[in-house]
Formats: sequence, C-alpha cells, structure tokens
Amino acid sequence: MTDPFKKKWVIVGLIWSGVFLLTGLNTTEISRIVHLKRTAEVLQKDREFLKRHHRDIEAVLKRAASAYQRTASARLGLLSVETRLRSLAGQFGLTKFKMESRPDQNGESGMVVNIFFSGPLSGAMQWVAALEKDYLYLKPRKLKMTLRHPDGPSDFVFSCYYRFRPSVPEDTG
Amino acid sequence: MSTPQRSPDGSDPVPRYLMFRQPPSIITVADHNAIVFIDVESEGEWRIRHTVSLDRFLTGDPESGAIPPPLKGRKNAVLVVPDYWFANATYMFQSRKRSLAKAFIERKLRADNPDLPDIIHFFDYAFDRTEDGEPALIVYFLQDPLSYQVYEKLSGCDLTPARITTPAFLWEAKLKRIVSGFHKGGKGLIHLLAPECFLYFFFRGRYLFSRHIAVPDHRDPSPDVFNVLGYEINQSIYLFSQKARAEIDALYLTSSGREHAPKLTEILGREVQVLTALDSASAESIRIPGPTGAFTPEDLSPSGDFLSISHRRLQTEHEWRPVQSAGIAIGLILLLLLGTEALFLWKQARLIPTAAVSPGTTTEQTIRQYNQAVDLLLADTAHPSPEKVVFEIARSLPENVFIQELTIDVDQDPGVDFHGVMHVPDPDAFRKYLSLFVRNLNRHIRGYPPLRVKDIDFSPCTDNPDRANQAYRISFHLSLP
Repeated sequence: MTDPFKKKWVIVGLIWSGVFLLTGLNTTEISRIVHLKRTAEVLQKDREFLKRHHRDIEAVLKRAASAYQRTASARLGLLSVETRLRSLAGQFGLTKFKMESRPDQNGESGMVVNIFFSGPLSGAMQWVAALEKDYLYLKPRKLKMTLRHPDGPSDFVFSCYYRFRPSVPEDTG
Repeated sequence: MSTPQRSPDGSDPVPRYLMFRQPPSIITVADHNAIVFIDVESEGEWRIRHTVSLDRFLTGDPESGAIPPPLKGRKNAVLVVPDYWFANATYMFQSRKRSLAKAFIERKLRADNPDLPDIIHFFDYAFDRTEDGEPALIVYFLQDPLSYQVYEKLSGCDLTPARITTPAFLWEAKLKRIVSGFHKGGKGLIHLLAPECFLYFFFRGRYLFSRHIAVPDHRDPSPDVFNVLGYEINQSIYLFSQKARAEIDALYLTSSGREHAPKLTEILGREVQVLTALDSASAESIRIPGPTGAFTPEDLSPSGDFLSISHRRLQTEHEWRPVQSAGIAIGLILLLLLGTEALFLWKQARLIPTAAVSPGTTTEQTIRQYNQAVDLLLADTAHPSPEKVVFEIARSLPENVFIQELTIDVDQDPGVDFHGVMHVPDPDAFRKYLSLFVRNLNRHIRGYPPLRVKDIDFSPCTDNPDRANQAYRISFHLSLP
C-alpha cells in the first residue's frame, strides 16, 4: 500500500482499535478488581465475624446439631427416644403411652412418629413443653387431644418428625 | 536552506532534508512552451530548479532528464497553467446542496465535453446569483486537453499537483489584498511584459475573463506599439461591458516602465493606475518566465486563498485530512490515557493479596454450617408451638365452653380444628358468649385470616343432660400463620 492517504486511514484504524481494545481490557480488569475487592471484603468480614462471635456461633451450631440425633440406626434411636419419653410421660402422670413410627413420605425429615397417651391436660402440656425444649430432633407436627370430660383424663396424639443422622460406627478392630 | 551532504563513499550529495524531515515542496509553472520546476526551500525562498520544453516533457521519458532526480517524490504544491487552459461557466441552479450541485456539474460537464472524460475530476464551483437575483453556479474547469496531458505526465513522475491554478486566479487573490474596493464594480489589470501583454478583467471581485495580446517590444519608442495595445484594451473593455453589463471602474497597470501608465492613460482616455504595492514584492521575485513572474512565494503559497482546482480524489483527501489528523491525535491521547489506566489497574490488582481472596476452608465451611444452622433454627421457630396454641385457646375459652376435640397442625398447613360444647341459658346468651369467644381468640391468637363469628359452625345438642341450660356444639377451623 503506497497511498499515504490510505496508510493514514490504516494508522487511524489501528490506533482506534487499540483504544477500543484497551477500553475493553480496562473494563474487564475493573470488573475483576471490583469482584476481588468485594470478595476480599466479604471474606474479611466473615473472618472478623467468626472471630468476634465464635462463642455464639458455636452455640448455634451446637443447637443446630442437636436438631438431629446421632444414632447408628433409626430403630435404635427411636428405641432410646421411646424409653426416655415414656419415662418423661410418667413424670407428668401420663399413661397408656404408645409410640408408632413410619418413614416420612417426603423423606426430608427422617421418620414420622405418632405418640399416643392419656392423662390430664396440664400434664400433657408440660410433657409437650419439655419435649419441645429438650428434644430438638423431635420436630412437632400435629397435636390432637380428645377430652371425654372436662375434669377427667384426655386422650392425646402427638405427631412429630424424628430427625436423625447416622453416626460413624466405631472401629472395633 | 538545506545543505547537501555527501554519502559515505563521497560520491552523491544527499540533501539533509531527505534524512531528517519531509522534503520541501515544489511549484510547477506551465505555459504553451515550457514547464518550470521551482524549488521552495523554505518560507520566502525559492529558486528555479529545472526548465524543460513542454514537448520534451510530454514526450520524453522521465528518466531521460525531463525531470531531475532530486525533484522526484517531492510534493508538487501548485501547478500554474495558462489562463486559457481554464474555462468558467455559469449555470442556473436552484438548490444549495453541495451533493446535488456536484452531481449536476458532473452531468453538465460530461455532456458539454464528451471528448474530455476526465473533466469530471477537475472542477470547482461557487454558489452565486445572476444579475436578476436567480441562484446560479459558477463552475471552473480545465478545458484544454493539454492540461490533462500535463497532469497525467506529472502524476506519472510522482509529482501530482495538489492545486492547479492560473495567473488570473492568482491576480484575483492578490488584488483582493492590495486594491481597496476590489469587490465592487468592474476592474481591469494590464500586465505588460516585454513581448506580450496580459489583460485581466474582474467583476465584483471575481475573475471574469483574460486576454493574451502579443505585442511588439514595448520598449520600442514607436507610438504604434501603444496604439495597438490601446486598441486591444478598448476592445476588451467593450467585451467586458458586454459580459458584465457594467463599465470598468478602474484600470491598473503593472509593467517595468514607469512611463507606460501616462502613455496608456492618454491613449485610452481614462486613468490607468500603477500598482505601486507590487514594486517591492516584484523586486524580490525570481525570474519566472511569463505572467507568473509577477508573483512572490507568498502569492503562490500552497495554503494561499487563491482559486484553484484539485483532482476530486485529492480534494476528498484534503477534506478528510483534518479528520484523520484529529482521529490520530485524539486516538493517541486516548491510548496514552487508557494505557496509563491499564498500568494503574494492573498495579491495583497486584496490591490485592491472593490470600485475601482465596477463602480458607475452615472459614468457608464454618460460615456455611452456621448459615445452615441458622436456617434450620429459624425454620423450626417459624412454626407455632402446639403447647402455646393450646394455652392461648384455653385462655380464650369462656367459662361455659368445653373442648371436646382439638387438633393443632403446625406442619405444612398450620391451623387449629376446634370442636366443643357451649352451655347457655338462651340463644341471646349463646350469641353473646360466641362473640366473646371469637374476640378472645383473635386477641390471643393471630389467625390468618382472623376468625369471624360466621366462620363458626354450631348446632344444638340433642343429648343434653343439663335441663337448666341449652347446649350447642360449636366447631371451627382457624388458620395459623
């Protein structure tokens, strides 16, 4: 190409291509830096948060961990749960204690447990309150009470989810 | 002035400008006999580099000495050609759009000059008005085939002229500068040279026509010479009045003899003024043969405001050159700024430590576990507590309402199904206690939506053992949030 006029256009084109290329590169770099800075900021905040609230976080994690019972199997776990709940019911004067379980159809919450018992309304409520407080892995689902007489004992059906996680079996050698 | 330098072998002188800067431009002056190449070394300095007969220039090989080697590749800024190589024409044209005007002129020139196909590349025009005030176009173009041959030959020698003009156009620009009131009325200029005389006529500051008169040497004391000249000038003045339909206001003379003006004044019977402003300038001029010799380097400056034409392609290039220059300048500035920005960004990116942006396994895992734990606990606490719901219902019960069956669902579709019995003495009391019950319930339990009296189903009990009161079975469903 010998025509200086055309050469100049080529130069103009090359320069402006460079301008657009650099604009694109700089835009990409700015986005990357902003992202990196934001990531660094978030991570820094996370670290500070963990450092400052590690006691609370541990408590929350512990409480959340107690929402699932560690057990070798659901049957074993339910057996121990039934024993303890039966004992608890006895403390509140509840009788005819019976527990049934079936797998949760949705499969999200482990097992569905239905507990039948009879007794005074106040005792039943104390039992339910104790269960809600100390047995986080039993998530209440439904409570049905049938009162035969205002002053007499009532029948209760307490339905809940039994949440469990299989524990790692100990190495017996 | 550039000083030639010798090459290492000491044989060929190499002009210094070829090594360090753009070579200076040249000016070419052509007439029917010869073509002159003038070196413009720097502002105000020029010299004749080469003169060659037109025939030899047109027929000879460029390598045969028609053009000296140092001139090749130089920028040919201006080509001055005889006036008669140019022509002008006036066309009636209503529009003032340049694109339409150009297309119109090309069509007109092509039709009027079928034997000059290149004529459409060599014209210029100006918007004007006729004496009647009608919009018109004045078009200037190369009409002599010789002009095209010269142009082609120069282009072949890499000396394509950037501008083509004539002495008449140069005079127009010069007289505009030195003659006051030039743009008004008719003006005539007599340029008297030794073997010939050139007459130029201008109307309203614009070149109208010129004449070339071959006269005997005016240095001859014979009065016949001036009589012949006077006759020709009078004829031309008459032609001017025919063309312009106006009279000449002033006649100017430039010549080498101071006695010529009085002689011509006497013969013509009107005052002929000497262009005194030219005296000093002409003294500095080099001896360019023909009418162009009256001009100085400033008059022929490539950036001068004299009328000229260029090849349409060159003109387009000339129009686009500022755009190119601006594009390059702005682009380079932007490149510099963006480059600086890129460098700054690169340094900024390096300032962010890698450790700061790569999440530690423990931190990330703990945060994830914490988020999951919070979600789980929030989901658990979002559901109402059955024990609390029973307690609130018990608080809301009037003393004469007994629960028979109560189902509290706190899972997928939270709600309360209530079945009970109300003992009242009469229906008015039933309504009263029912309202009270609903009011209490809505106060203690935030139902979704709140319970209304009409939402409660009721029916009288048929097996009521209490003879003193009436018994009503009541039931309702209350949705919980």
